[in-house]
Amino acid sequence: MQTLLRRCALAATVLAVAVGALWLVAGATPALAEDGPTKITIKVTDSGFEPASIDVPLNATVELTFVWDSPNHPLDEHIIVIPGYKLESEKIDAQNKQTVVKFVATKAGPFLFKCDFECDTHDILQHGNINVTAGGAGGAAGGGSAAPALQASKLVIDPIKGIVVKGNTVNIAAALQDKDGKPIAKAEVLFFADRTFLGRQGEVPIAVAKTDTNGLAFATYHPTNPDGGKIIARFEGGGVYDKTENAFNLAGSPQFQPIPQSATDDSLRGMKSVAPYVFVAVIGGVWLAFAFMLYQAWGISRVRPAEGSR
Amino acid sequence: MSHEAELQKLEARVLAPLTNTSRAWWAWAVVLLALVVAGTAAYAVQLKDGLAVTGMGDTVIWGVYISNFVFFSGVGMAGTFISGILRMTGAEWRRPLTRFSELTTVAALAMCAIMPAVDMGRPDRLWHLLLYGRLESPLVWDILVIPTYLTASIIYLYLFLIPDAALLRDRLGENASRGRRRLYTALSMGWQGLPEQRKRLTRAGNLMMVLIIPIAVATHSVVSWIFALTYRAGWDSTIFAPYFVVGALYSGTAMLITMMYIFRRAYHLEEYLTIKHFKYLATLLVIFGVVYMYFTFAEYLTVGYKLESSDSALLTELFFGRYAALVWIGFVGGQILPTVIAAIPKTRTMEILFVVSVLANIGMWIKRFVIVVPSLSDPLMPYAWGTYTPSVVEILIAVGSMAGFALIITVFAKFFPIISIEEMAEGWEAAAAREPEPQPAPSGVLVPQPGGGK
Repeated sequence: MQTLLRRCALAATVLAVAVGALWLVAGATPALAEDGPTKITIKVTDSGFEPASIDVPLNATVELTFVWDSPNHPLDEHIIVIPGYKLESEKIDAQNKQTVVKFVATKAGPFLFKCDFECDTHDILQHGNINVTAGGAGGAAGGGSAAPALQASKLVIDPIKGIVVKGNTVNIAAALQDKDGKPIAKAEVLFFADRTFLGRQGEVPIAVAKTDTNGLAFATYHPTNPDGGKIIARFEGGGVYDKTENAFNLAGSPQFQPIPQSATDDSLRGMKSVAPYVFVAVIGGVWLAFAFMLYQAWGISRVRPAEGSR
Repeated sequence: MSHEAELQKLEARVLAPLTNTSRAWWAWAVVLLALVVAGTAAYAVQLKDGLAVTGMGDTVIWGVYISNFVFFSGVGMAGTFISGILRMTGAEWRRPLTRFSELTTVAALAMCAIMPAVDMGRPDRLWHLLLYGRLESPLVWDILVIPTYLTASIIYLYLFLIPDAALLRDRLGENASRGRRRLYTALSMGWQGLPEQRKRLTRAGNLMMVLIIPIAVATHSVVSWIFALTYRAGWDSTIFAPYFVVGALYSGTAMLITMMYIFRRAYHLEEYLTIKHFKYLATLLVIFGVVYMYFTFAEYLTVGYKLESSDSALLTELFFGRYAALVWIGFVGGQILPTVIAAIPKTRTMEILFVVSVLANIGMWIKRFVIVVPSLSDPLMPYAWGTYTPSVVEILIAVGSMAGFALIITVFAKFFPIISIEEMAEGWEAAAAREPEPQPAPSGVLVPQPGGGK
């Protein structure tokens, strides 16, 4: 009997530990995995968005599906942007009727979403609002106010080992990928040059580019000196992905060529170099004329009346 | 009345204020002096504490000082320019006006020349502009051209003052202090009106008369180029040089009318500064005003039609934004109203023209302010608009410079005749020479008597 009781107690203990461990594991798992993203479908009609106002909880993963719905205007096309999150959708029209914009609502507050085509009706009608609130509507769906679950991303610059500045233009290509190596399209990549200016070192923005459907962002850099230096490409994550960056070195070269001047510019440059001397000559001539006039005035005092004229 | 009698009357009228000083004159001079002292004290504060005491910052780097600079250079341009043009064309009505014009130029340019040094904060750096300045820079052109025009104007004023200085030397005698007599003797250069002396004076005067016009035009063009040779919205313009020149002629003519009216009343010059002179100057004011409005229209049309993004932001601020009140007051009150009123024959009375001339100058000062400040407020990078409110120090210095301008004229008019006696005498002599001497009537011919039928 005692043995049975001991075995039962052991079994109960093991079960309790197992349940506790399971509970702990389950508790540590992000809500995202359990509940999935907050999915909202928005119709894009002739008279605007339906619904025009949506509420999502802070830190939720949000998946907005925009559906083209303008049967009376088959030529209408839309690209939806959310400036507050720097997000931009694919174009939707009568052929491609649906696009999905996915992001993690890491910032609270009202955020405008609108059609990016600038025309009167779009400006007036195509406006909507996303209200991101802590513990707002949507409850725990999509993660609620728990820490956001950002996906990993990777930025690859070609060539990563550095290039020698020989000419005056450096073309930089940066490939942005997610954790599975798939390209991330329509994402903003910032390019910086690591420079020293007035004794301080810092990043100087040199270009901003959006990735294309292959996840490639292109930038053109015009070095102004042959010193080389580090070039940095950075992806801020767009609220969905981790921040990622990569850098490569521009190797200095004595063969650096500044932007050549055109023949016309050279001839004008010649004129410009002569102009200051002409200017000084004119001013000098004017002052000589002043001297002549004062000489005449001085001459007045030297004039004596002729004999018998007084 | 014979021209000798006319001359004696003029001498009595014009020389009287030189020896008799009224209480009103002292009060006026003391007020001006107090304002100049206040301005100087404010400048001392700026010199001690630096430009931090002004409303200028790293965005709006020019304010009231440079507006004043452009305003004074404009007022200065018209005086000598008008005098030179009228002398060259032999316009007889110029005679009582020439000294006013030349004096206005000298006083205005003296204040104009001070302003860049005040704006720089450290006046010792002015010297650096000459030592290290690049000749390609319009700022250096300004530093060279303004003193050149000031010198030219002083010489021009002085040359035609020599005969009057001799007259003062001979006429005032014991009525003047010893210092004054020495001053007149020195300035008169031993003038006795001898033919050789006249020849030399005419030679120098004629050369200066021709030279002063291109110098005046060049000076104000250069002033415009410190703005127009940059890429800033509102300044990047091809017509700024003629635009500024016409604006200068407009404000300078208005200043001449203002001065004429004040001196006419204060010095009782009603007989010499007549409605005819006011009307002629009003005609010039209308012409310059219309041309200036045309330039304003052309300038804003070409910019507003293309509406590049930076120009668009600037124009919105100018016409509907934070500068709208100033712009519209300056445009309507300072350009349209004065031009229209001066053009209507019924409103061409001296009093109305005086008010109109003051309005025009207030409007033109505002115009210079809205040329300088809003363009600098418009950020070149995507940052917030710059703000600028003149500090008390700046306002005191600006008011002090205005008072300085008036004080120079007031003091000059205390030492020298404000109407050129020599030039007036010359005119009367020429008129007398043109009049045919009365011939004795041949016998048997009836001579019509005055008032004796048609």
